[in-house]
Amino acid sequence: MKLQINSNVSKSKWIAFIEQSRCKNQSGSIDTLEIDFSESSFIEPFYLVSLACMIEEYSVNGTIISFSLFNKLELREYLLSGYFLEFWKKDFDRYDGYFATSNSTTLRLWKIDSTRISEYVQLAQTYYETRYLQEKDATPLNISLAELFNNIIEHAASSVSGFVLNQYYPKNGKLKIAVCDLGVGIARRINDYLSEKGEVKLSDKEAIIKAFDLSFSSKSIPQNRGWGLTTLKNIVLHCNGTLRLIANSYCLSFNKNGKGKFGGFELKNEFCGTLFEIILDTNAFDTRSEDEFDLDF
Amino acid sequence: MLMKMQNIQVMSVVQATTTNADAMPLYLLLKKEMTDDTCIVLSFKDSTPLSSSFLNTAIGNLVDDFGLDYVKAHLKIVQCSKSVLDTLKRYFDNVTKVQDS
Repeated sequence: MKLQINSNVSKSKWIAFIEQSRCKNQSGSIDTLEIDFSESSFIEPFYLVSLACMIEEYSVNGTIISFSLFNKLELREYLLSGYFLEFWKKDFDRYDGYFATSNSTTLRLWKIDSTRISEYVQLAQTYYETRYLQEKDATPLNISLAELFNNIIEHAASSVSGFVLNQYYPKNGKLKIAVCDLGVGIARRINDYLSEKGEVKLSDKEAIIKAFDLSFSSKSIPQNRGWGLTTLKNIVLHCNGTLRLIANSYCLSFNKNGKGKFGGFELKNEFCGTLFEIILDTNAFDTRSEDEFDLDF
Repeated sequence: MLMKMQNIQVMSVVQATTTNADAMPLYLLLKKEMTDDTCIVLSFKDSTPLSSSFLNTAIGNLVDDFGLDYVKAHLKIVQCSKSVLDTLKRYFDNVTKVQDS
């Protein structure tokens, strides 16, 4: 089977493409899948992590993955730098180092592994601090990744775990984080929880907004308190950032300029999973300091 | 009678500060000391950033076990970086808000 990639489409059309492509995998009888990038000139992290999830779903069903790019040299270099083209090769070691890319502003594609997330978030913070951010404290990156990963591990029930890509833009100091899973989706998880409690279901839009309420949790594990997405929102607003979240039938977004007010739109095609794109302005990161403080209650 | 005191370095007890699992050794140690009515001086020297999952297990569980006032009375938090201090302040503020709501 061959899939033609066109990354010059809107995000909602892309999501529809991903879902249609996943449907073809439902029989589990696809021997080979060729991903054809010949119609694409560039591909954003948002598109790549969702594509990676879709490809992984085929791969775990035994499908052999291959890529064709023809004369797309720049795109080829970008995909090679993130190890995207090698990721599904039989002998490729997915966890042999996290950051050894030729394009040093991009961290290589990483499949989220619950036993390694502490290591990953710390290394990601150190990587950008030492190479690009000099005196800045990249704690917001560390915590954002931690909240996104914990969200997948504790709530998503994704058969392919999830994928992350981080991209730094030196010209404007923006840092883009894209994380995707193919789990139940935030809106459905919340509505399942409400149903279990005998409460009225919400629209997907309402459910996703509720996920950002302080102390609302679907209690996937007993320790959950519902502060993860609230923390994420605070970081995005503090760092002059933007957040886009696609789950089930809704795309929600907010940014600092809009003072955190939720916007968004209904998707034409439902997405079974959750896809985050977060942009942080590293110019808003605090300056690193050796000072120590005590907490007075 | 003077309360017993115990110094604990967070980064000597845990390997990381990202997940619920990372926090479990710290929670068990703090619970043991609080059960013995010991006042704990908890140092966050050289701590990595604290996720909400880590804090839910390390601190949130203690609040569930003993109550917020007891935890605050038995915990002295010291040697935090600015970002760790901000995270802890926000966490305790949230615990208080939720309790008051």
